[in-house]
Amino acid sequence: MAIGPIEGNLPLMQPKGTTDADFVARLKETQTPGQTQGVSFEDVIGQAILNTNQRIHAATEAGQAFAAGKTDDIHGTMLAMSEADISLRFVGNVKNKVVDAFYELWRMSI
Amino acid sequence: MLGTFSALEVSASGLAAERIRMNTIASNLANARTTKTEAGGPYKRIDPLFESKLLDSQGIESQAGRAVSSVHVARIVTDERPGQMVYDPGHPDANAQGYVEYPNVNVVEEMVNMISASRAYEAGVSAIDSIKQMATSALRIGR
Repeated sequence: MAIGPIEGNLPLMQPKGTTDADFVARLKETQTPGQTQGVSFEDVIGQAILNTNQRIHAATEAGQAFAAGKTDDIHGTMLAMSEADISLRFVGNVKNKVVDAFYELWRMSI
Repeated sequence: MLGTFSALEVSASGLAAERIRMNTIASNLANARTTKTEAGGPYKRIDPLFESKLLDSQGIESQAGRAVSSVHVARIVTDERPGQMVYDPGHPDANAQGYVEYPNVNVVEEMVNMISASRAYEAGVSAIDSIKQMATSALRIGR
């Protein structure tokens, strides 16, 4: 569930000695990171959400099994719940960051 | 991947192992004076044999990733030390010479093992608490 650093320089700053056409071409390259860098942010966050969902399901199943008396694995049940809790809060934080970033761009006056 | 959840997995394996150890200690204490078993003869003290097990280290390149291991109980071994012989000719399990063989369980030794198992379990829980604390602290970075 690792979200790696975004690799490569973002050529948003126009270096001296390049033409506007070069700059626009390079800007277009960075707009499709999924094709140029292999993994898109959507894939990464989707995988994280999938993992979190699995942990929540595992925690629910563990809780139900414990309540039904099928298991007496106290620490296993508590750990499943803790993992689900941490995962969910992590995904929630990432979501908040993305939404913040979106609003930052939304408010930008052009 | 060596991360928060693998650390939790390692601690959980330790807790499970200590719980099994606690079960064997309870069994030893409960049968401290059992002179008859299904296999015949007095009860024999049992002890779990712990074995480390490398985590699934797929895709881990670091040295630490290959060294981190969880623990599991390989098998339960029976203590073959001789039991205490007590002269009691009236006892139903007495031998021809009138001696009864009592289990090789030393209650004091079991109490010491119990304290050790209980403290080891607490240490495992403390480790889990710290791991959770670290994860929660990391989540605070973004705020």
